[in-house]
Amino acid sequence: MVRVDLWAWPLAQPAARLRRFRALLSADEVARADRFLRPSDRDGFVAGRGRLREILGGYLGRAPQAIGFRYNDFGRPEVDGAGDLAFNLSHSGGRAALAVSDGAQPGLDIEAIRPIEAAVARHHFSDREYGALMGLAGADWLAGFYRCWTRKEAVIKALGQGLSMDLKAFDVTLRGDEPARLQRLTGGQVRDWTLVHLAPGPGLIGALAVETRGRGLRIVPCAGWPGAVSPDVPGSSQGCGWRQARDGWGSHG
Amino acid sequence: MTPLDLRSAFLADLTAVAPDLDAATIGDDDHLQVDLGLDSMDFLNLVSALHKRFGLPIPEADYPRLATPAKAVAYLSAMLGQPQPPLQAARRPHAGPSR
Repeated sequence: MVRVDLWAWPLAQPAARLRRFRALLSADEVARADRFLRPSDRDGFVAGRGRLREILGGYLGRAPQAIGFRYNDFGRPEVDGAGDLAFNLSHSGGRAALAVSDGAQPGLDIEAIRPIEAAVARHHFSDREYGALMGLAGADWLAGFYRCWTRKEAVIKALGQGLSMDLKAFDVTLRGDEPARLQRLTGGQVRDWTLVHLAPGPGLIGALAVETRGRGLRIVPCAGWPGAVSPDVPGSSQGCGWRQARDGWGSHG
Repeated sequence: MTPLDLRSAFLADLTAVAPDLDAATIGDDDHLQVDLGLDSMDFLNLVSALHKRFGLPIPEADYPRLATPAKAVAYLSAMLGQPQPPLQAARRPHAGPSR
């Protein structure tokens, strides 16, 4: 069984909290924050990374500022010496969302629903996905677009690849009346994957992708996550940060 | 189109997908995600707008070649079969950690 904890928080934070988060960042993270042209992007980065460090520190039993990140070839951050712990961060519409897993790399994407031209789908979706999308209209079309895109980006992020991956190399479901599912994956087995539709909050759509390889998937909504994971997955009252359940996490990290 | 025309067109499409960016403050070496804060949806919109404007296919493997205005102008020049004299690099006027 793969467990994934879902966390969420707002990127707009009071100045005092931003200062506290900034103090948790490494020198290269501070430099990266200061590269942003727009102050809102800079502050959002600080709030995203600062809170990420706090949460991961809780799992690993380390001070937030003691966490070291390394980056894969496509820029996905991973924690140095974290054992089985894997995470993925996403942000959109002023919210950050985080998936933390124990033994399988999660891919998480949330998107604020905003108007989009059909040409974007034509350019980036597979023929099968585009055909399914064009069978929808109005608000269903827009929701279908974001269901499709968040699922695609979640798969890309779980695979650790950037947007330069061939987006037409795989198909996902997108209609509201069928479950989230990978339908085709060039070079891979769709049965190895579990996709979950997420409801991260008002005006947002999300998706989680995990290469579960036949294992079950248990999702636990944690602090900041708005109730149920999605209409398909009820919320859980169980607490997060499963160090107690997996004694040794952090001690060997 | 000259490189300056391509730069203007690229910045017009860029600021259309991120309206709170001011084209006058964008440097040619500014990275779309790292410096300008574009997210994946912004980037998809930008690629689609460039595709529409120039009629180029722009496959995913080429996306890194759009990472900065300077790279994008070089890429568009090459794809449109035009000579590529270098841009006079526009530096971001207020670059630096003091913002």
